[in-house]
Amino acid sequence: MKFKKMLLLMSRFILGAVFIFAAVGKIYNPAAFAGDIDNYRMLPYILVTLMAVVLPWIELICGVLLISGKWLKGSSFIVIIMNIMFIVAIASAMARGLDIDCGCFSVGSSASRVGMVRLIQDFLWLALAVIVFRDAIKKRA
Amino acid sequence: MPIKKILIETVVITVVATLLGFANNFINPNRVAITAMRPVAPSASDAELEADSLQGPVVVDREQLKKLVSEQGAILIDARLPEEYDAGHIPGAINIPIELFGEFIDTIEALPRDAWLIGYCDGPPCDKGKNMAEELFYMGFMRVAYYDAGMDDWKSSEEVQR
Repeated sequence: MKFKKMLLLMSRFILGAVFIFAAVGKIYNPAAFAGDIDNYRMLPYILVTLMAVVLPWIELICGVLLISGKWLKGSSFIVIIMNIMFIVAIASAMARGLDIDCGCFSVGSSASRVGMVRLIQDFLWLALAVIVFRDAIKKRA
Repeated sequence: MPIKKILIETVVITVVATLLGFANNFINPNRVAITAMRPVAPSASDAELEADSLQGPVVVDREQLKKLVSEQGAILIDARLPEEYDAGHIPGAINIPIELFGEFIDTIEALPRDAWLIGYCDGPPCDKGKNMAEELFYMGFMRVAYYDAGMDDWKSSEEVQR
């Protein structure tokens, strides 16, 4: 019981910190983030720009909610969906042999490349988000 | 599962993020223009187009391309795959798929050294035209350009050859 509580708390804090950290650089520079998204060559440009503008704020809000322990159902649900999106995007970029900046944490030239490390990381975040989500929906509102 | 609760929270988070995102993008100096058209690289100056040699490949827009072709006999090189070329290309363009650059080396060597060579692809984010221009420049061709806006832009107002 105690272990479970610890695991849950750690999942929330790690995930929250990761998403807040990931959001800050993108919020600072939407243009560079749009370039990173566009490099994946998966979306029409209008969706690229909308995503560059809105996605970092979803990350930030979810990060804050996860750490503060409020609205865990919605925030962990969104984080699960986002991580599935990231995994699909990175896997597809790798399958197509694209050598591009990930756009995961930092944007523009300082960003790290897409690759197996990023993919594994996203699976880890996904697992943490599922832990939080499962617990959140068990509790009564 | 409290689906209603999950949905409500998800929607509220998304709406708030959208509002904050647009507000930030409005005041942020690094803002991105929300548009359906991908930005195209800035095109060359008149001086560059009249030069005998360049420091590197330059970008041309549709009007500059037409002028270089009609006035200076520029050679257009479609860097896409043969099936894309066959489906429609700029009239007069030859096809050298960038993937098969090595196989076309005799064709490339036979191109006149003093002519303008202009590579193109579909338009951003495709960079095959740019890659073509860079390869040609490294091979020693002095007047090399690429039509960054590419086939997407050409199709919108000009005749396409099949």
